[in-house]
Amino acid sequence: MTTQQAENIIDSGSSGELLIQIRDLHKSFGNLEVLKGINLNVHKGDVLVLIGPSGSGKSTLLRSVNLLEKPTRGKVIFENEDVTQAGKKELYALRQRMGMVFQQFNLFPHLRVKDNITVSPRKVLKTPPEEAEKQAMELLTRVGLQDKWDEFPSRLSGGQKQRVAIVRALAMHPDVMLFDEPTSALDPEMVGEVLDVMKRLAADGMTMMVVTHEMRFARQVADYVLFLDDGIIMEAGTPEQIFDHPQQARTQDFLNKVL
Amino acid sequence: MIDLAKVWEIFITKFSVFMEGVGSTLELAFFTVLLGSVLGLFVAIFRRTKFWPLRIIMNIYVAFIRGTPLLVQVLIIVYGLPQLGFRLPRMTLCVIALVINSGAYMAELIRAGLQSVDQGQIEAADSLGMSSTQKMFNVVLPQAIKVTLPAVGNEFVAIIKESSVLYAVGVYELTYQAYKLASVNYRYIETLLVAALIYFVLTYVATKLLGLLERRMRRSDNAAG
Repeated sequence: MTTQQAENIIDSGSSGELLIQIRDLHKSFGNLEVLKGINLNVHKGDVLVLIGPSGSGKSTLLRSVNLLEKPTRGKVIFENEDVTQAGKKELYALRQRMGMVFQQFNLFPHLRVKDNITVSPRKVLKTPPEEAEKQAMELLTRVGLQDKWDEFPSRLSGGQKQRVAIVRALAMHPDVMLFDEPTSALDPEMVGEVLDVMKRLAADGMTMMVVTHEMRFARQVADYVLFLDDGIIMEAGTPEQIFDHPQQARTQDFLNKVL
Repeated sequence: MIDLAKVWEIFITKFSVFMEGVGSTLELAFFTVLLGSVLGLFVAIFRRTKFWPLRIIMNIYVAFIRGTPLLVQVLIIVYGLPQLGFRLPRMTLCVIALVINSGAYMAELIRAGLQSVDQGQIEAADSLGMSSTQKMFNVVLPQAIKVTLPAVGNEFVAIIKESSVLYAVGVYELTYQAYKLASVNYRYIETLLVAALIYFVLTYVATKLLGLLERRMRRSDNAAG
């Protein structure tokens, strides 16, 4: 059993090198304290799945990693750089190495699929256009959407949009991928195609932090599962530990409701 | 009595005079909208900057222009600038006055357009490591401009009408031409009715054309957005 005390650091535990260190992370929105001191180590190659009731702070935790939310206290250290102390330019550079996938896809509606994928490599990384397009086509082919190259996002289904969004993030060659409820806005029949892409990504060794309600996915793919409740990591462990032998009453409660 | 035959006669016999006015009016409206959009765009962007003195100056500019009559602004620019040593052609001064006026209104329109861009778009751009400038030019502006274009069209129609205040400074736009004719032939009602009808045709046609353009854009929008 690993219950988090104030100084107790949850560690995803693999042998890979340390990629992300989260220390004493707090986040408040006005008077509402959403994160109440998170301590977490994420190792390279690990797949962490964050579960928990809505409002437990799991999305906020994920969004704090690339500073879409600015923590009120504590730090996030990514590849030995403190994200929370980074200046503007350092932050841009850090974010380039962290891919993010959103619940609502957030594809750029005014750009074709190819430009959605290549715009940041071209403009941010200054990759030559031909090279950026070549890489984009390879990635798009890997998710089976090469024939959507010239389409606008509005012509795609939700599952296709999300797969393009994953490719868009991958095109930056990130060292970690953050997934914020990537299948929650999808029609049920499209969840599978997105999870398949994520599974392959995990199998390829990508470091991933995934906020999700897909418990089967969590069980199959996660190296480590975090159960968040009321702004703290209530319980953490391997999928077997969390799903088969939850120690905390809150964890048992939650799993009874969702399984 | 209004002599309708006389209205027609004035229109036909003084056609070239009216058309000269129409030419100037359209020219003024065109350049005003073109340059006013550019000015409005810069003002709208500057109003979002973190550099507060610039922000305050822009806010004062917009508030001042929107809170004072166009005619007063025109008189200040057209007679004031030459007094300060800027000796420019009258037509140029008029365009400057209209652009300064229109820029403030455009800035508001563009601001609304910028605000209409979904927060998720900004977060996506942030998550890809784009800088503020890259985000503005690749993600926010293209979407904001699309939203703003119909309103810019309406501004064009509005300026066709509003530019009539320039008759007060003797620019040969439509109202001035009509007024000049009327003060010679003493047919005020008939002559000014001709001007009014021409204005109506101009704005009516412009509105219809813009509506057509907007519908076409929305169709490509469904394919695109």
